[in-house]
Amino acid sequence: MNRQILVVGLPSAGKATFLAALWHVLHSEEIPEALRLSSLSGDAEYLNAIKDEWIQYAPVTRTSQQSERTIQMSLLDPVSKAQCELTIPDLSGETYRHQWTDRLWTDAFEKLAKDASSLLVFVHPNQLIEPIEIAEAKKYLPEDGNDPHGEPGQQSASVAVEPVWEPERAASIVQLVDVLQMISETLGRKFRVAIVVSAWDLLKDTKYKTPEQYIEDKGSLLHQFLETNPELFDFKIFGISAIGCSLDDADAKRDLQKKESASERIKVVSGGSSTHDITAPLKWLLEW
Amino acid sequence: MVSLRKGTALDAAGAYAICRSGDAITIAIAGPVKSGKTTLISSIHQGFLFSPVRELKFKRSHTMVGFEEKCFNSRVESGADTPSTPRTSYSAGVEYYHLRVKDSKTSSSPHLVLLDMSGEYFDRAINSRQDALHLQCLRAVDFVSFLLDGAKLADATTMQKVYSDATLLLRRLLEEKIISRDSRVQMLVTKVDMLCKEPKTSEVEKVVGEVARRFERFGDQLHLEFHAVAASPAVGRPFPQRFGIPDLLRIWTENEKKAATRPGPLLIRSSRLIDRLPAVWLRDKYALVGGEK
Repeated sequence: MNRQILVVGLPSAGKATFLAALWHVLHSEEIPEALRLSSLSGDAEYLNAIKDEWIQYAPVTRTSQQSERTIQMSLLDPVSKAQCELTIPDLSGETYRHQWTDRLWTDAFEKLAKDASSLLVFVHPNQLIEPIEIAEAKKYLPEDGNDPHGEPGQQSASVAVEPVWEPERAASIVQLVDVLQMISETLGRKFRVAIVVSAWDLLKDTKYKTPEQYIEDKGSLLHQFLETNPELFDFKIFGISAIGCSLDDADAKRDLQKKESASERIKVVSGGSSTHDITAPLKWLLEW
Repeated sequence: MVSLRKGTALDAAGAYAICRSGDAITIAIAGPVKSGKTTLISSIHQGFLFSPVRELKFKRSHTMVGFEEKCFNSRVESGADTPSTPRTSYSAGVEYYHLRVKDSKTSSSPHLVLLDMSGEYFDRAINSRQDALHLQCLRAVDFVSFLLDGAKLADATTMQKVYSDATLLLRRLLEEKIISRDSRVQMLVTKVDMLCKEPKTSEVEKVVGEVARRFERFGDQLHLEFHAVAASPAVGRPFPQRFGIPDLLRIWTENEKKAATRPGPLLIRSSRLIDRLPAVWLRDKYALVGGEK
């Protein structure tokens, strides 16, 4: 069985870190229920390099447009013994951003999208651009006496910066939803989408107890889009902490280093359950 | 390379392609320069970014880039200190914004097509019959939502002009048969936070009632509806962001099953492109004299 998963996400969404931790779990077999490699075929230099960064708590090198590649893995499910050839195009977040800004994609990308059996979509809690309104933000600032209504086409004397619209300055969640709209139109059929809230550990002291709650609130447009198009999407939401803690948090890092296996750093949360198995989203996507 | 949908505002042909699907509701956002048209359109998009709007959920949009551009000047990301909206240029002609929503109450999924044009079209139509003919596209829509600037209504020096201009425009549109008793014309008081101390129903209704009284003379010729919104209330006013917008969306989407019946195709004689748009956009309702050229 050959399957292709398209990994989608804007820059700094956590795709490369996920891939590094995934590679470790697949080859180390430290998590009994996790998918594993049935053979170490092909060139693994890149995957080993980012895995080494991950295992040593170094920031994982992001994929650039110049270093995009297709990763192929032979996977084995230890429970069902089913085997699968998995192809994951490792695309830069810039590729998706340019689809939004330039309204173009390459013939090669179109083929990748058409051949994909499912999507793995990354959303980072520290979204690059949030659609916060000035009027809302001002509610939390001392009153300055300015008239916040402003008039169309008229520059207020208090405007410090002349707003210059560029598509890359659009809200990140809107960019992502539009890219997904265009991919879904290209596929023209129903497919599974695993939404990964990366760096899940960053949200531990917030009101969000589950990744589902987080996406419904902070990624509402994406949630509405997936929910209102059941003829196109079968989706599930995962919260994944691939590193285990903030790299700046020395105490937390020390605690994690005491764990017996590196895979125990990983936390995957979905549907009320928690595991160290970072292959869980892949297993769900490959069920299809 | 493969070209993707531009995502910017649609032209008449793009809007027509959506309307052809049959479950589209067309709304013309009409009003003079600076009456709040762009703020209204951008706030509709902005509202769905944070949560569903009551029972309506975002399903799709072909104009995400266009919506984002309209919202940009009101966002922290713009770097501005004060929210503003980019002005729709006269030369841009008629632009269309698309949003498809799913109504979880009725399970319907109507397309909303918002028609935006520069306020100059309306200002000029007051003065010139020829310019009023540029507004022929209003004939084809399900709703004409005419904006009355609440900030100007709150100011004694500008209030009378708002009523005077609106009255003249309605008369012009009636005389040119651009609107009629079959049209659903909404008079929307924008920036209502400048007219009411609080968003209390009784206060808002009082304001709306006062505005409605000024248009009683049209009772025999038009079915006018009156509503109030505060898309981006002033800081310090106890109004929520996008006040009144959910009610407006509710009214528009409920129209889906009871769109007013319309007469057979109307003939367009003008040779100007802008006048001929309805014939491109809604072919079952409009036809060009002598056929298409």
